[in-house]
Amino acid sequence: MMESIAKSLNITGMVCPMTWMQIRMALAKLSDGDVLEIVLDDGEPVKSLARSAKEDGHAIVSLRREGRSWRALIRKGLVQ
Amino acid sequence: MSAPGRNPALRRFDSVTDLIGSPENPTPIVRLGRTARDVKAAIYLKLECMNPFGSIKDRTARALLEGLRRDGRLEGKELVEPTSGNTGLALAALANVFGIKCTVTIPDQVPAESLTLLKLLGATVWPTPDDLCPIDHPKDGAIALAHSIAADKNTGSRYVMPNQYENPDNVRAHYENTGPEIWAQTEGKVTHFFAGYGTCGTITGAGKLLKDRNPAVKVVAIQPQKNHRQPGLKNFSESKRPGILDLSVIDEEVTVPDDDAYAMAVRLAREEGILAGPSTGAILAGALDYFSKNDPGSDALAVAVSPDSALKYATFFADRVANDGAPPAVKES
Repeated sequence: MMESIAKSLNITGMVCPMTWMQIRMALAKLSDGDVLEIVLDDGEPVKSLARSAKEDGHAIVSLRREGRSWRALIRKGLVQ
Repeated sequence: MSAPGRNPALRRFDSVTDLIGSPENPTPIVRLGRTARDVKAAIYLKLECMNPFGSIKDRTARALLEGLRRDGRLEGKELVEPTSGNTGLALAALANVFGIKCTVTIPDQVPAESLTLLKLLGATVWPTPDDLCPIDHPKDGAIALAHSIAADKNTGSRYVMPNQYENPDNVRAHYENTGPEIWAQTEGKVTHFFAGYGTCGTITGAGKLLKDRNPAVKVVAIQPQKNHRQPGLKNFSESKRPGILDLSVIDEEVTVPDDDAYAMAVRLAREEGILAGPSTGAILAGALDYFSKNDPGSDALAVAVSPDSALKYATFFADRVANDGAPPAVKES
């Protein structure tokens, strides 16, 4: 099923923890259940994504590599 | 008509930067009365709120920028720095004097007064949750965020980070200024020096200067309780120990709970007429605790650093004194 994306965020080039700071700021503008699309770099940014999302109570809907970056979908506030 | 020249004796200066404490223009020390009446030592507070931007961090900011200019690292750059408020205020003010931009990352629990003053000065401000990067140190989110701004692969090259936690110029500020001022103001009679653990520039720099002049001077470090509300101070069991801290300078550590720090700041206001911030309350409470367990000896003369005033923390103090000051009720018959 195609997810309905509420907002997209490109944080390639940024490093942790600015990556998660930007994600938090974007999620703060969304409602519970909304999906945030994120494009981010390989390495520490993508490694910390799953941990930080879980700690803050959000669900990773999908995570896939696209060349040298990754594309993630996070559903706000609904860990499944 | 040409303007008359700089004349510190007349308190006439050419730039606000000249007002920052120096041996030529020291911040005052004031002897405590009633708050220290049970202590055999004479205790003086060094009132760093008298610096132009309101805190001891004016000295740090001046030295950090001097260092960046000396090393040719400031040209064409913007500043980015993690701060609990005071260093950010001083850097933002000095950045305005020099015509450069300033970005600060601060813990999101700083008092509203600091946030407003940073915005008044035109700084870009990132209020940062302490737990933003819990993998490293649970209370260092603002530090981690400032590093990530400077490391951004697209925009990081336009920033320079003075990094007060690791920069020897922070120590130099106090070795060349705060320390010599205290030595001169006490006419070389200082026996005890009390300062807080924060970036550790003050205690390392001034403490080392005083010990170089007289190795018998006792240097006592004050640290807050864990999970504290004492801006500017750090407990190193939850924060990274700064690289500039020289432990060989420290003779003893005293840990002070929030309640004691705020209670002492309230006493300073009500018993001495001195409006001091929570960190001053902590440092003085720590000094009195130290002297309650250690005989100061004869002719003891202690200097305790007062990093800033209560004015930047009015909202924090409101939590402590909200029920005070009510007018007396009229007796009803």
